Amino acid sequence: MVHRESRILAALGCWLTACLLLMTLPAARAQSSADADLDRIKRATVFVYQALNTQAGLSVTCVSSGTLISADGLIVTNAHGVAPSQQCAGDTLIVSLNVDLNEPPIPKFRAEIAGLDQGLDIALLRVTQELDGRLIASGALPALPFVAIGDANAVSIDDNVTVLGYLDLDNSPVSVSRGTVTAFVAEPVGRSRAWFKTRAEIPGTMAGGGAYNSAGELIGIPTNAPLVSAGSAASNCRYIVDSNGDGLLNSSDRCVPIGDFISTIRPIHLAASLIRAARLGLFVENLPPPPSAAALPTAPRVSRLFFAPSTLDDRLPSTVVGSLPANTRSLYLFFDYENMTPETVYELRVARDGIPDTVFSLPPVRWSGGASGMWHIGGREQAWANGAYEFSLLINGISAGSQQIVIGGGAGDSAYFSDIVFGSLDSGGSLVGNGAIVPLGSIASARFLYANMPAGADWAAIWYFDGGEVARSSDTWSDDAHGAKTISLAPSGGLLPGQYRLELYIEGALSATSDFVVAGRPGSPLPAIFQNLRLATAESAGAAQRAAAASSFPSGIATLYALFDWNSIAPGTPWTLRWLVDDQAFFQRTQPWLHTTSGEALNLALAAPPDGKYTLQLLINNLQLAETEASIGIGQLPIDRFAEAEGALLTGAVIDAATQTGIPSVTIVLISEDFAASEFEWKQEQLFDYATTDRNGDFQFGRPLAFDTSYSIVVEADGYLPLAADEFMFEATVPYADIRIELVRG
Amino acid sequence: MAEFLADAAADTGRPPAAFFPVWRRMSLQLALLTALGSLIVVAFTLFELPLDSRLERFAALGLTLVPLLLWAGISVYPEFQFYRPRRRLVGVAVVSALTASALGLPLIEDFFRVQEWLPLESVSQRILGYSLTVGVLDTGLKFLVLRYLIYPQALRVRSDAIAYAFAAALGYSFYLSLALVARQQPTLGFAALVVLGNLGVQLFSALFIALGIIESYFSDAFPLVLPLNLVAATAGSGLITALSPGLLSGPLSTAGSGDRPLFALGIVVATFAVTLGMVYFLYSNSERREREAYLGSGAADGI
Amino acid sequence: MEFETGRSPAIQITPRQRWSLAFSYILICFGLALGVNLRDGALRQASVYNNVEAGIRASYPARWLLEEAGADFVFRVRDMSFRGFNTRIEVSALPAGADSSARNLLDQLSLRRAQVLIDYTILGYEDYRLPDETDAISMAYAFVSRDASPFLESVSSLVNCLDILTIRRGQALVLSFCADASIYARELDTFTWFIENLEF
Repeated sequence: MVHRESRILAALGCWLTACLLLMTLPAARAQSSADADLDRIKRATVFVYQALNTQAGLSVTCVSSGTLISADGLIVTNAHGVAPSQQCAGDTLIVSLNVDLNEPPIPKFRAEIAGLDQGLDIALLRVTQELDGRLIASGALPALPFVAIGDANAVSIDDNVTVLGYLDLDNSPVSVSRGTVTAFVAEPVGRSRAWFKTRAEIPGTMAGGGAYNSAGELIGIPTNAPLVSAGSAASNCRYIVDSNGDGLLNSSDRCVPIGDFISTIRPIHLAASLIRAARLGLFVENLPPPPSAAALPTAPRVSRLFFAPSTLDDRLPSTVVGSLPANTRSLYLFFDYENMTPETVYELRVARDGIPDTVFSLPPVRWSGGASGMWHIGGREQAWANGAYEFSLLINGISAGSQQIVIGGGAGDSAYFSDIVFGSLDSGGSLVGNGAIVPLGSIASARFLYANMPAGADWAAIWYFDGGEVARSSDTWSDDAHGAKTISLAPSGGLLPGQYRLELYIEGALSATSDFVVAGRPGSPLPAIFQNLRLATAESAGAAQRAAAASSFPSGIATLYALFDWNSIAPGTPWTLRWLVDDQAFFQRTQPWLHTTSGEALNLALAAPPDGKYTLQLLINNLQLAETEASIGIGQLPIDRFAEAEGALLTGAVIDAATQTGIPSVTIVLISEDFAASEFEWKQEQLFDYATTDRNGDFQFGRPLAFDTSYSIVVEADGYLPLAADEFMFEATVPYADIRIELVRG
Repeated sequence: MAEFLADAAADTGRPPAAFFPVWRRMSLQLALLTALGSLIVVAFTLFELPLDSRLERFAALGLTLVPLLLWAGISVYPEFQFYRPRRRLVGVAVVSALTASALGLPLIEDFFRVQEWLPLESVSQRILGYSLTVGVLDTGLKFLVLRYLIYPQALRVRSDAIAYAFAAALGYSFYLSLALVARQQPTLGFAALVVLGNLGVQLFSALFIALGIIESYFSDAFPLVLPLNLVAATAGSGLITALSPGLLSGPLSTAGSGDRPLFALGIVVATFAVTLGMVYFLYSNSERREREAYLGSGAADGI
Repeated sequence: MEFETGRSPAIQITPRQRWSLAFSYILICFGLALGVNLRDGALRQASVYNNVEAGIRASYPARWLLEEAGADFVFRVRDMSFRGFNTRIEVSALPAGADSSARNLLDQLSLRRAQVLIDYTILGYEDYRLPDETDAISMAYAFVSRDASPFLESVSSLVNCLDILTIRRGQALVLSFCADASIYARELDTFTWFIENLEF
């Protein structure tokens, strides 16, 4: 009997020991860094409908992809798919989110335009309403996943680029295309990197999505400009809504433009100021709107196409060439343009020896210059193969002009003029000035370089003022073969304010050309054009005229007014207004001068500026002519702890240990790194973030957890034993964690 | 352990008579239950054997009946085949289950609302809380069932109290397990843990009640002995109720948290072992003291 | 073979046994009373909020999340452990002019809420007397709450709320209470207790 009892006890002892030894350990699930980066980017990629509110309900007018760039619902996308226009006439923006990475996106919110540059084709949207139109109260929007913005200037040729967007009209999950950067395209706006070219296969509906570097940072926006006109090819237009209500879906309905395959990426740094303004809610008032197509008298056109091997100040041609030697790495097509609007679509088709060259071509994109002026397109970071090139420009799908150039052979010794700069002559006969703006006076002078000039060659100089010829001189060359020469314009009655141009010809062929502006009184070192630039605050614009200027303002002012006087600027002269906060630009616009030639107290307004150091700069031809600055409140921007995209994304599920099913509505609290779980007193300031489980028990923290930072976590739910842990920390190798938390009923 | 029990009938002068054994049969049932439970837990939680969800639900509900079926097969049926059976066994089990259904669970959930406040309290507070709510209620109700069904009319020998207490524990825990399994629809492995866990808690308190009754009735002990046993039953069941979910719940880390079914199983086995060991020790002591007193008084001379 | 000592079943019990049973009953009753006391203590465990600037001092249930100085409220407490809509009590202040009536201000609140809450419905207005015998007006309303991230399959719940508005010193103080409809009646006791302990 005793033996039997002993055996039972021994068996029980063994069992206990075995149980203790076999205690199960929870399984960890962590994804690799690359997968996690891609998942994170996918989650931040949204699909945007532009829709028209009609009596029959919302009717889709345009679609585009977009990317969340902040947790509070700021989305960057192309402007052409969201801004109301003739092509996209909608008035409502619907944002679809990637709820399941393997499924098409689901409409969740409505958004409003928070920043727009139609020319650059960049728009910033902000989520403001629920899908049913209810406003989202301040702070009520759950933190959304977003991507980090990378340095587009650090991109090199052959760098890998990953493009995310949606393949078709909301029928497919988010799509990923991979490729490399094949070329950079230069334009005056964006300078040497106005566009990235890529060979990645990017369908038109992915326009507005995101292009990412290998670190998973947003470096650009895949961009195209769908051209849809009556009878246009069905390939870039989809009929998905019975817009005319005839019960049929056919070509008499309004179609949704999607564009052709995309090979251009707009670098994200061109959106930097827009993003900054949108994040801070900054809005510059009292500015005239950009011209629209309806306001312009005639159709857009281009003229005077010529090539230059380089640019001066990323703006003007250094010289004019008809051929270039082999191994050329720098080439620009210059041309004049008129009647252009931000909605104008232009395209450059390059053919080498009659075969289209996709590397150097620019597919249809929005026009980012002003209404008229001189433009260039080209590049200096890739080699041009030998051959006979033809550059053809198309405006709104119609051929507008072409020009040829031959590349190959050795560097010739043909004569040329180059590097024209403008100024005034001092008493010693030397050219003084800034090269691009000449003050009012009687004489404007130009100095240029010449090379390989044969004695006795015919050359000519033609001066233009506001498009009309004002002076011409022709002569035979009598100077040396190489050197610098200065010529002058001395119109009767003196120089009038306005835009001037000089063209230099050798043997009847254009060899160099450049533009300059005459404005302002003589000054040193720059002409006195903008004066008395000052900042003030007042109840109204009228009161601001009388308000005292100041360099510091209290927090919370309603409007910051900038006032300045101006002197001798001809209407139509392009000038640039640039606002900076904490030394970073948040607004920059170049536009024609629309006021009288001289005047006082022009008023610009900046609405509801937050604390920071504000700087206002006024420029003409990239020359800064006036600057002022002032501080508001503490003189620096508040720190936005939500602005950091880098960190571990924490998702997971809370499971009932008994049923192995998810527990809905459980709150998981992450306590900030300054507190341990035992110190947590359920106060908001101790919280880092919290998440609530859905009906399946799944949860997702909107705010990434900083790497290598020790948080604490608390999970409490009625009826279950609470769980808490300190040292809840992720390393950079685990940027995405999916954890399973099992709760036991208490 | 007694193979057969005898009614010494010291005060009546009747000859000693054998009674159906309790301890061995009870141990056997608990061992079988533990083995079956372990098998299920290992198969369905560790090896995650696939089972149709509907079948699993029925199996889990069926599992709550297993302790009663084992008891019926191993204890009740042979008991009634035996000389002088304990006739109120089934009645005690049924009334206990009905009490749990009518009073126990409703009072715990709707009056004490322990699920709303106790799980979130600290460990010490939970032990105290469970002792003063669930523990007092469960112990009190089982005590009342035993008091009015068997005390003193059905008590002949000490093992009667043990047998009836086991019946009360089985009946009471059956309803609790049934309600929990029907409501929560746990996995089969977890249902096994629920059935074993509930039985462990109720067995602990019931056997301590039985000890108190034995001391009070058979030894005519000091009036505070029975209440003290009830306190022990209450505290013990509160302690087990408070601690076992905590031990089942795994720690939380960046890898998540999981349950520890084997750990929980080990705790159940430990509860059974400790309960049986401790109560049997006290029971034997009481029995020995009584026998010694009986022998010392010379009343056994006639045997 | 072992034999157990025993006795024949008795009809009567001894006085000792009677006392023993009596003590047991008393013990059970005493234990239950302690349990009730413990339960009440736990459910009424309170933390204190003190805002000298706003002149508000309040007790609120312990382990509820305290949020201060939100865009729309002076302070707010929420029961984060409840599975469903987190029961919340919110204290907010509205400017009140000489011409503003309590009803007026409640209507303004309604207009704002109607824009942000799903299926916002006013259930009715009633006069309310605060513990310090001052008059107030209460407004009951309901809405549907859907709280989770848009990336998840969120759970909707019907929420019942009660606003109590009183105007003092040119300022309207609004005490708002919202709870899941299934527990609203029960949780209303918590709100009543909150008001009884509120100093402003």
